[in-house]
Amino acid sequence: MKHEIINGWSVHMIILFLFFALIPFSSNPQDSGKQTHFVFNGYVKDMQTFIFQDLNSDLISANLVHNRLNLKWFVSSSFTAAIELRNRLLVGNLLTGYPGYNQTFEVDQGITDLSWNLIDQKSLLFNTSADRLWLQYSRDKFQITAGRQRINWGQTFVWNPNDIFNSYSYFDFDYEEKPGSDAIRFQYYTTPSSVVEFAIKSNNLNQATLAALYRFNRWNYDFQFIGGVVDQNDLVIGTGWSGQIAKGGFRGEASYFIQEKKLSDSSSVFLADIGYDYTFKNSLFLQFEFLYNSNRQSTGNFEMNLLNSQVMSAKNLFLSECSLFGSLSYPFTPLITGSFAGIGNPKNKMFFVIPSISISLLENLELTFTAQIMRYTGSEVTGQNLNMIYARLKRSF
Amino acid sequence: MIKKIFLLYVLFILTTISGGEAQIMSAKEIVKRADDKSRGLTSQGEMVMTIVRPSWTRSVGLKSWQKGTQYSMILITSPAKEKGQVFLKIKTDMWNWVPSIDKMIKIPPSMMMQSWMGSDFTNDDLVKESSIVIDYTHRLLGQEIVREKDCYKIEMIPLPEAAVTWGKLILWITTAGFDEWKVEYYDEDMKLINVMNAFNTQRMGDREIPTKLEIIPAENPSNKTILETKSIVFNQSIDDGFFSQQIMKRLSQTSK
Repeated sequence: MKHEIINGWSVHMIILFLFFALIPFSSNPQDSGKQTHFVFNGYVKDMQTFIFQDLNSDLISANLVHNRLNLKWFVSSSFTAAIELRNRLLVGNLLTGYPGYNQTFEVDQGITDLSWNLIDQKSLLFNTSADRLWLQYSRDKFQITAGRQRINWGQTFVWNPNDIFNSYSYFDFDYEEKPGSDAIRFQYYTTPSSVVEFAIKSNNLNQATLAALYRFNRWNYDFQFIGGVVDQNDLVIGTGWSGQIAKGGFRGEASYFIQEKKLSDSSSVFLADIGYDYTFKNSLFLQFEFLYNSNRQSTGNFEMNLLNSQVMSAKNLFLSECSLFGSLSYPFTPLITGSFAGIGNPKNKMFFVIPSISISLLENLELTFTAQIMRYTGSEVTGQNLNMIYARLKRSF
Repeated sequence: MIKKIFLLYVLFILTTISGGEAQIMSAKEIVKRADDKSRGLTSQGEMVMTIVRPSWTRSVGLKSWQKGTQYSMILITSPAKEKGQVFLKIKTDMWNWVPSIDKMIKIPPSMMMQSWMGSDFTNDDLVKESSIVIDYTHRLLGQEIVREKDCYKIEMIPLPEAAVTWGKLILWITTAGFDEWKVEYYDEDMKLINVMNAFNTQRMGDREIPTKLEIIPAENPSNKTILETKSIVFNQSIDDGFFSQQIMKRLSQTSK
């Protein structure tokens, strides 16, 4: 077996090689002449993950080298095309510890499968995928974008009931761009600060999502209304806003999903999220969010799925009933920012503590340490604690 | 008759020597003239902001479009991680476009007081949400020479309802060019927080302006943030419609 030949040292050498090899030589696109037809950028990250239940349990570890390449092509004054690729190399016993974890890399929620496990061995995985691939036509106040794209209708920061096209998990922090969807999106800017949108997408089960949005600005608030059909299964209506109270940001979103084919009495689902954020003069940033999720399908126990953006749905963003989020972040120096977040769900008797520190080592090199510490406070034996610790080095270009 | 003309002449000389236009111009008018000059009717330029600390520096490149006090657009051109982010201000609303996640974030007023990307400038210094003419009362304290330039020294106290972080500002405005040559920023307890010094007066478009601004925090004189104007043009007409979310996204896409 090939993977057995690859010992610890050579794996590290490969990682080190990839880390530098994947940084293109022309990493300064500013120098390329005035007539720029292409814009190219991206990053390379190396992240070490440790997962364990308690100090006596087995330690699961993984090292992920993650390279992102973004390319935009300005075909003409009205046409733009984009492709964004993720190349990920995962090494470690995370693959053996969670059987089937390798498959989650290859799952593509889109119509076309653009995710390939090119190397898939016992403890080594290399995956290439495209999460943006679109062509855009713009004329006056009108814009149409076709292909794999992110359609972000969210207003809040942690849970987004209005993000019906491409939900994401707050815990999946390393997926900074968040997933996209295979869609056609029409946008018409009715004023400098208002837009009407219509979008249609299909997923890998050939279920269509079709929805419209109207967002406008009044009384220093952005308001939006959405309506449509999600996955050919639920009718959805929703609203969201962003404004201010006492100089702080006041935002919220609510969505109501009604199952078209009524299977039971509880076939409608309501999610509402409300948030407040305030920045002090010394740059201390406070943030709170409250989610109500009426979806009973959320099991009482925390599942690994809640960490994975690929399998999220706006209909079920987190555990059922009330969840609370609070965070504070503070730049100790312009180079070092620390943050501390907590998430709790009283009904399901669990909470998360998420400390994080981010250090800018060089102009384009950043080191981040973060942890997701989950505690179950109930008495049932099925509930369990979980600790996840991450160290990440990121080189942007 | 000759005596009268001579007296008038002497009077004229005296007024020009003893503060000249200050006798005629109020403190507010001086500040307005300086403000009008630095803003123009419109401006569009490229700048580099550098955070300087004893052991390291970090730079942020930006392009800026301004029209009066109502409209402002700022595009980040470097570093790589922040490149493509755009800030838009229309009257009293502000937004931040984050292209990587396709997200438009509405910025509340408290975020304006925050330092701009870790620098000694606040968001407000860059986007100029508050106006040094409208949001303050002005008092002429006299004239002083600062770095070889004769300046009006003006005290400015913010109006109670103004969305301003500071308790008091002292401005030195050059008598010859009406440039903001030095500014002292005091907090609400009248403690000196920052000092701004301007340098390198150069011709930029139709006017000569200081092209280098330096902000030094009073508590840490070894720290500073430098804002250098690489190029700027004034009074070229910009349509109100340019300051829109659609153009904001377009600029973000095409940022090299």
